[in-house]
This record gives sequence, C-alpha cells and structure tokens, in this order.
Amino acid sequence: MTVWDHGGWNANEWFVLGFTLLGFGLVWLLPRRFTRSASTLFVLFGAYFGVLFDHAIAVEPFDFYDVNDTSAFTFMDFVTYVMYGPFGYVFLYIYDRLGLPKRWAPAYILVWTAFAIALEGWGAKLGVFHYKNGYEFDYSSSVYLTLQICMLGLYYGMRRGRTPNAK
Amino acid sequence: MLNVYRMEFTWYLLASWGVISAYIAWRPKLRNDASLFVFLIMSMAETIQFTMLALELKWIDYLKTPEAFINILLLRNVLRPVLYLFAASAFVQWTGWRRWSVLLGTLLSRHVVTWLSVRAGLIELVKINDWHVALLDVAHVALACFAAVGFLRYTRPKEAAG
Repeated sequence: MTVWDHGGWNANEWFVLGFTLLGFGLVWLLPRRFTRSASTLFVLFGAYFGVLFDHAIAVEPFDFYDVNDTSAFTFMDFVTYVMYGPFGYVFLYIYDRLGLPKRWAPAYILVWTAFAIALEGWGAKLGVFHYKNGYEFDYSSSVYLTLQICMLGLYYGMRRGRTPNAK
Repeated sequence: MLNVYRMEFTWYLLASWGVISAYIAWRPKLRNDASLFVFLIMSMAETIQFTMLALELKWIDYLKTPEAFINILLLRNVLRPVLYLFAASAFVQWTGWRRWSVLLGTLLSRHVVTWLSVRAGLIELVKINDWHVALLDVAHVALACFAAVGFLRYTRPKEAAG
C-alpha cells in the first residue's frame, strides 16, 4: 500500500468536504427545474462515473492514480464519489436555465471540460489525486469530455421520456 | 490463427448485450428512469463490493492482466447490474409465485455468473466459500428491490401509495 500523506486531516480533506457541501448546498438551494426523478438521476450519474473510473483505471492492473491519502479505499474516497454527484446536476441545471440551442452544446461541454480540468488540477495540487504508472493529468480531459456528452445524452433522454405523473 | 475458444471478451460482451435485450424485450413495468436508477446503484454496489473484497479484505483475488480485468468490468458493471433489473421489476409489479420465481432466477443467475468467473480463472475465492457468495447474492438482489421501491416512493408518491 502506498501512503501519500500521514498528516491526518489537511488540505485534500478540506477540498473534498468543501466541494461536497457546496455542491449539495447548490442542489438544495437552487430553484427546482427538474422532476424528482430527473434530479436524482442527474446527481447519481456524476457519482456513478466517479466510482466507475476510479475502480476501473485506479486499481490493478492499470493502477493509474490514487485518491486521497493512501492507495487503500478509505472513507474519504467514498466522500469523494459523493462530491462528484452535484457537479452533474449543476452542469445540467445551468444548461437548462440558459436554454441554449443544441448547436451550442459542444461549446458548453468545452467550457465545462476546461472548468473540470482546472478543478482536478487544484485537487491534485492539494493531494486529492496522485498520478502514477505513466498516467498524466493531461489524459483526464477525455474522461470529462466523455462524461459530459453522456450527461447531455441523459438530459435529452429524460426530456423525451418525461412521464406526466413524475414529481 | 483465429481461435474462437480464445474470444472471452466477445462472449462476455454478447452475453451482456443478450441480457440487456432480454430485459427490454420482456417489456417490464419498471419505467426507464427507475430501471436506470437501479442499474446505476447496483453497478456502484458491485464495484465497491469488488474493491472491498479483493483489495481491502483480500477475501477474493482476481487475475491482474488488462485482458482479464476488462472481462471482469463487463461482468461487474454491465451484466450483473442488468440481471438485478429483472428482480427489481418483478418485485415491483408482481406478487406471489411469479415474483419469487423471478427473484430466485436472478439469485441463481448471479451465482452462476460468479461460478463461471471462478471457472474461467478471472476471480478466485480465497477466504470465502459458496455459502458466503450465496449470502452476497441475496444481499444484492434485496438491495436492487429496495432501491426500486425507494425510488418509486420518492419520485411517484401517489402511484406508490396505490
């Protein structure tokens, strides 16, 4: 097991906790735009992708990065997945609020990918992510691009299949 | 030379696609949003369970080659979560023997998938046996059913109330 930080509670934990509280605060406080069903799925989808990628490319045989203080799965890693959730919701909330035509969707994804990369870079600087085995921070852009295209696919899918009795 | 006996990835991919197509063809009452919710929850549960058992508790071991791991990902994140959709849908829409037979079928299918993974050498049961696996089968199927009921109650309170 690789230990990156013996120091207990420090910058990476504050980063994760801060963004988790901020994210869920926004989900709670923003005026409602979606059905309960859509909101739940939008939050869950972000967390799902976090779990999927972290447990696919951050474990052996690939083992491209570690999350938080050690390579072992800790409670703070779990909170990190929870932290991913609201980003998906806010991404779709702003998209819906702006009412952008579909031709602007790729540009919207571009802006959010840049924002996500910047945020991951900050997280890596504070010790949330530790890259290894040839993985570069540079490659994460493809993950965000894929995730956000899927998120918009889900958004349009939910709009098309909106059920009248859904609350 | 082409060897059809060494095409595990294709077999697992087609098997996963087969289970998805069977579920869609079945025309379940569980609507798309509830099905997606159960799929995401169960895929996350399977993933975290695998990491806990293999890397933290060391109760199971797995073949640590990229080829084998991609097969594990297909089984863990696609095939098994889709299997639970059958159980969740039957739990929500039926009562009596029809409900319990689908639940039992899902339990057996999950057990068979685990058994096939062990036979294929993808995973190895180190500190657990078939009975522990059976308990995990029950826990996962129960989680899928309760996730579906919880989601429906939260999103469609009137419909859930009757």
